[in-house]
Amino acid sequence: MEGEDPLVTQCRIRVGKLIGGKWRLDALIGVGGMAAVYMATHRNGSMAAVKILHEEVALNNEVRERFLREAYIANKVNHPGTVKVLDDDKDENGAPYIVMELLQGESVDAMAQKAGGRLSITEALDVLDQTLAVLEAAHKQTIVHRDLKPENLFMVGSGVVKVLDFGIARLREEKNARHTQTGMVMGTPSFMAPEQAMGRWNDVDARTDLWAMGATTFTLLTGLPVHEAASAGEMLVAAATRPARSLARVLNNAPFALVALVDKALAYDRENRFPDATTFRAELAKVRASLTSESISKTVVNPQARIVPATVVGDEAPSRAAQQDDDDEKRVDTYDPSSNSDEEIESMAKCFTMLERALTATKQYSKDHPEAKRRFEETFRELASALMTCDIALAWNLTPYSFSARDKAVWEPEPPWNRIPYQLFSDGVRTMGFAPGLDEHEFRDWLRLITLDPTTDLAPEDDIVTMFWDANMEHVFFQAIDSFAEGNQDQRARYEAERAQILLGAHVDHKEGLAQAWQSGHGAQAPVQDAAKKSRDVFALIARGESMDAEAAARVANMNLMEESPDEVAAADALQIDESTRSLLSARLDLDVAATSERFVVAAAEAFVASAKMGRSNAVTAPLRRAVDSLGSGEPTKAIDMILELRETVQVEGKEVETASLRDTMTSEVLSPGTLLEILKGSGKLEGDAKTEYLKGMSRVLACIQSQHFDSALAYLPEAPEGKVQEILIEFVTRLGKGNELKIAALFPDASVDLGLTLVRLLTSIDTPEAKEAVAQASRSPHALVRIEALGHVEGVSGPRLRLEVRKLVEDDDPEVRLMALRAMEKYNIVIAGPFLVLRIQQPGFFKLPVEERKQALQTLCKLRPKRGEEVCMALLAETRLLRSSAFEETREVAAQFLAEVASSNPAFFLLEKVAGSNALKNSKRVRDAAAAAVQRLKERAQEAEKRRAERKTLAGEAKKKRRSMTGTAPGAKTPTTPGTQSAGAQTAASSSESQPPPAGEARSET
Amino acid sequence: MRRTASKTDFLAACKASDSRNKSLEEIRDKGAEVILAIFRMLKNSLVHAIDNKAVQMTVKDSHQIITDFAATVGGYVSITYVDDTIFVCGQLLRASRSIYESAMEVGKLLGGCGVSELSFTGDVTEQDLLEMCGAFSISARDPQRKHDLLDAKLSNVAVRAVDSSLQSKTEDGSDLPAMEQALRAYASALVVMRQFFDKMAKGKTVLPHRVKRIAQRLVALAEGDEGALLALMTLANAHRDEAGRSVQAAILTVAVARRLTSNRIVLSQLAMAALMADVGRVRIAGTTATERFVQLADDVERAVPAVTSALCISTGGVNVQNALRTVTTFESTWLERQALLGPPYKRQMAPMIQSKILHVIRALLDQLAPRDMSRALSPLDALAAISRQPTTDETVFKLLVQAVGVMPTGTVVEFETGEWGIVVGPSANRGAVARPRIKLITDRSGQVFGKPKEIDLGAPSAGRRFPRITGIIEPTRARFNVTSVLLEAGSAAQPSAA
Repeated sequence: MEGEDPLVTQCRIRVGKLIGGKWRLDALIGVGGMAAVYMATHRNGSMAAVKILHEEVALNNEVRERFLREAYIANKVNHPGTVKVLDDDKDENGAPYIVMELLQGESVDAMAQKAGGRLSITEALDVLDQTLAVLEAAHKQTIVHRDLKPENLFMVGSGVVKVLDFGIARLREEKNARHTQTGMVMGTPSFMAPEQAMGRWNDVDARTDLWAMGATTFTLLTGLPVHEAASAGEMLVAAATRPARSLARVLNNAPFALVALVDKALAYDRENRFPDATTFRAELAKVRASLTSESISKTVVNPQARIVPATVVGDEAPSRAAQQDDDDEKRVDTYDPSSNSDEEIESMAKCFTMLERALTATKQYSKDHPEAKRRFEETFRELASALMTCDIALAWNLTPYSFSARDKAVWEPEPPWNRIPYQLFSDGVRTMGFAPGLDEHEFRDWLRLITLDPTTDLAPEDDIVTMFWDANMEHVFFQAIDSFAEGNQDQRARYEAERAQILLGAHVDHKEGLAQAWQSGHGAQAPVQDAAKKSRDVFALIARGESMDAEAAARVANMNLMEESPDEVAAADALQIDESTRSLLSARLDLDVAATSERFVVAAAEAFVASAKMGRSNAVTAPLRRAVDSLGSGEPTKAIDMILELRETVQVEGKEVETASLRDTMTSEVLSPGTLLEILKGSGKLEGDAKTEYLKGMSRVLACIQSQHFDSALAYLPEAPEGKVQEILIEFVTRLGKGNELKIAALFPDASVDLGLTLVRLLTSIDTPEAKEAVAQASRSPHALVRIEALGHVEGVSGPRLRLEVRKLVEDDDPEVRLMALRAMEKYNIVIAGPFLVLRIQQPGFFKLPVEERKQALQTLCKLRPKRGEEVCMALLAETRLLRSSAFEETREVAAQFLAEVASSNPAFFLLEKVAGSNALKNSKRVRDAAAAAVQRLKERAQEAEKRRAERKTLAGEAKKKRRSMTGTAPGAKTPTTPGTQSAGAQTAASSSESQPPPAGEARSET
Repeated sequence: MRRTASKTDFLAACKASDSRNKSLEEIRDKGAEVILAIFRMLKNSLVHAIDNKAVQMTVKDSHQIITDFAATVGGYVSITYVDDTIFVCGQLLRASRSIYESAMEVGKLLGGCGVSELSFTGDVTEQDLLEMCGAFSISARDPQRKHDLLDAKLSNVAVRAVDSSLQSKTEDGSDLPAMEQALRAYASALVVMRQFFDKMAKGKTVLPHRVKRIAQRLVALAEGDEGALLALMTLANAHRDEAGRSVQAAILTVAVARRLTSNRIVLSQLAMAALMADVGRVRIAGTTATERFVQLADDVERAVPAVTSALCISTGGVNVQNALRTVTTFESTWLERQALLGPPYKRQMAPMIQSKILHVIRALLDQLAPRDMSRALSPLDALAAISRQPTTDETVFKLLVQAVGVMPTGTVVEFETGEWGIVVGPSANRGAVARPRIKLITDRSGQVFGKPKEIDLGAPSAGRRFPRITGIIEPTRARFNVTSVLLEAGSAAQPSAA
């Protein structure tokens, strides 16, 4: 047949043939992508439908197996509503076929088409009920159909609905991904549940079929698909991404129970649909019972589903609706609040009372609290019911304090909700209303808009009216006046006068001027030639790159056209823009956030440079800062990126210094203290590379910002997690520390040990008097280590204060602290604390201190004041007691040991000798031994010193010779002598003993 | 200037974050107290003698409230009645029904004395208030002396009658012809933009909501009768200031963009960008063309795109819509100054389509109605001029011609017969791009037609021959009110073919 699909022709050829030696193919019923279906007669005279897999498809073993396997799925359901497969075999060419019962009747889709595109509510619900019965059985067998739609539902003559084509059905337990892979789409887009449209086969279950039945019912009732789309591709995208529109939006006056039933089946989230076919069917039964003939007959399809969009009318402009056709005009007229009936006014009042309670619940609890949600749902249900029974719409007028209709207040809210009518009225809204078909989504949108707080929620150019205009809601309408005149009476008067002048100017009569103009201007040749030349240019541009040549363009441009000519056609063609270009440009005209963003950064950077040059950089950075702030709390990574990107975009051509300075200003001004804090805290949630990158960004930001952020960053320092974040912060604090030393010192009371030590080091690296003063404030640190560390850096601090600090540490309760303090005194050579230390050693309690501490005390003293140390040690060693504690003896032993190292006087030597040679009655053995060892040590020291002296003498002699040889000085010339350093004690020791006692100077230098 | 592609989706998370002056809220909240105080004071002065203690007590209380409120608003206190609406210090009164009713009663009482605005300075004394109450009680009680209040010499208190022309401005104009509606919208838009630019020139960078309302209004009008809106191009020459140019640009931008989209939000945003495109120049010049056109030095002109961008950001904040507006105005003003600045983004990125549209339209307006008052071209000449400009985007130019026609509405033409006509719209025959619909306005002897005849050059009836157009009359020669011809013709034209 001419124009017929070759596949159909190929299938048609089979008609009349006998297959399998038993089935004669009588007629071709239909051809699908995989198989063809024939009406066939068995040799025994029985009739059936034979479905034969296409030969080319049959070559694939897997497909063949699947064809047969899936064919028998329907048999597994075992329900009169499925089509039984009676047999299977192969034809002469090896193509498999199945034999099924033959159905007499028509598809539900065909039924609907015959009835004008849709079925009555009764018919549609009957189809739904029967199909759900089949699905109950199928789902019990874990079989999911996956392609339910009106075409796959067949109404046989007896009124029984048969579910066809379990061709893509799947046994739910069959998890073999080979058969249906994730991401692969099977089914019909208009009737696909979101999970199926997305190709998420693991999520496809019985509820997917229930969604398809919701969509089928929607289409049967309305004649329209659930989603509006121009192509199958768009439909698929819509099915995957958009919640289904409510039945109420398309079927005006649909009974609420029916709307609720279908809407629930079509819930985007599977969890919100009916859990199974049985529940769905039970709910359906209730709905069917509730429907009266009146409610059924009132339904009207609204295929455009567009009543009248939000409309603005003004003092001089018409409402948009008023510019529609006559029907629309009538509809607008009926949106007059004065046409509301008493019942409608009562309904509105009830709805708004409920709404106020819901709003109060939201304020009291929260938007997401179950109580608030429940109240909103109740309100919406009440409103939906009211809309279903209303004549045309529910409309009301606005006053500054109420919503009213026919001079009756339908809502006069209490504070704070009295702001709602006030704000609407203030922005110019005078009438508002809901049209039937309003869905919950629109209702919530409306609510969101009327409760916006203009002081915080709106962009500067917006008010409630512009927001409503932008929202363009289908079932919410409003009329607003545009009060362009603003200000006080004088300003309004000026506005009106100027406007009137413009209007008057436009209306000035033209006749006299025209007559004069004609007299002076007609017939002038210059303009004609000029115009012709210029119009050629117009066409030349239009025709550039088109088939139209310049000559033709010129002919058109000369306007020498009395009738349609090829030239003019060519010009008209040249004016056209091909559809792909138009689509592309159209798409670009829609908001492209990425492209805009990219360019906005440049525009903002240029704006910043310009405003900074005018000394008004804050005009640009303040809005930018608010934008960064909005990112800071939730997405600090983006905030960092934004700051850095803005920074790097700032550039003054050829002026690097200025650029660098402006970049720093930009960074500092765009970053608020709050956002800085968020950024500092932000790394906590990140791991791995993301964290590394984040920290890099943070480091770069902190490297750029200036002292106005010092306090915020510093305040966070004690809380900052140890590691990189703290490191970055310390780097920042160090950079800007000069001038802020005392602020840094203020952290000591709260800083940890490590941070305190770091701060001490940080402050000591700043070479200012304030820094020295700040280090001294480390005494406020609760950590002794910090205070001790600070001891070494307290130059310039007064003696009494330092002594006090040292004393506090040395007398601390904690032995560790005391020990560390003593060590620090030694390390930092805090000589000023020497007298105090002597006193401490001389106190009776000294012997009760841990030996380590006593030893350190003596060592420190000997280091700081060797002479005094020697005296103290001698005093200790010389002290005798009747009852000697071990601690006492231990201390004396230590004293002896120290004398061995520090002693430089003869009395010390003699004392040691005396003690060493004493008996057990006077000194314990350990003390005597220590003294003996000390004596020995002193002798050794003396010898060592003598040896070194001799070496030096030799070296000096050689040097002298050398110098003489170099300078030619005569031998025997006088050279300065080194002052003798040998102490009297040492001399005594040397003369009275074989060994020499150490000279004092040598011994000290050794120490 | 940045060279690399942006890695940050800069605007994705940005919200409308700019807030307004919260002191307005305070005015609104406390306004009711003032109204009640005045109500009590005036009512008491009506029922008692002015030296009655009750009157004096209420005056004392009212004085306290009024002066406190004056201190809050930092100036004087005014109560204005317009259209059954009450404004306290320019802010709509926010109050309950009972207070509103009291306020309306005050309004009626004052209205009876011919007064609709009452103002007090912050220095008002109790004695001043008593004197006002005295004058009021006489006016309200005695119809013969009802103007006493208006005529009274009061100190620190001012009473005025609101011009009746300011009342009842909320009538629905939907019964007017489309062209008349468009004209009224145009007039409002022009005044609003002039006021906005005046403030901008003086350094006040507050974006009134009215600007967006205008943008939305223009889109709504274009949806209704685009031809009527486009006919307003004939007024371009009459209003050669920045405000006139901005409104004309907004109209043309909407018309051109409608060749690509019917999305109202996109169209209104684009219109708003067109309205805002001159803020930078106005601010730099410190004056608007209503005063005098200021020629800027080249180095100052170079700063215009950046300053425009700065003002867009500071007035509109950082949100997606304003970012687009900022970029559009930045790029289009840059494109205008390419000779000084070089190509936008140094060719690293192409300007957006919105900017190209706006640029071409502004270039057209520069020819149609040059702000420096140099010679204005006819629409066709203007099209020809911009067609020769190297920066004109070919596709955008085609869209422009599609929108306005080869011979735009308002073009005055001369026929071979010597008759003159005005183009009122494109031909019903879409293929007749060079043969528009024309109103014949004079006969061959220059006699002006009382009722202009309309002919569609593109669709002559069978066997009929229309005279040939021999020339376009330039605006310098067509010195008559073209707009009024179109207004007389009613709805000027149908939207041209897309």
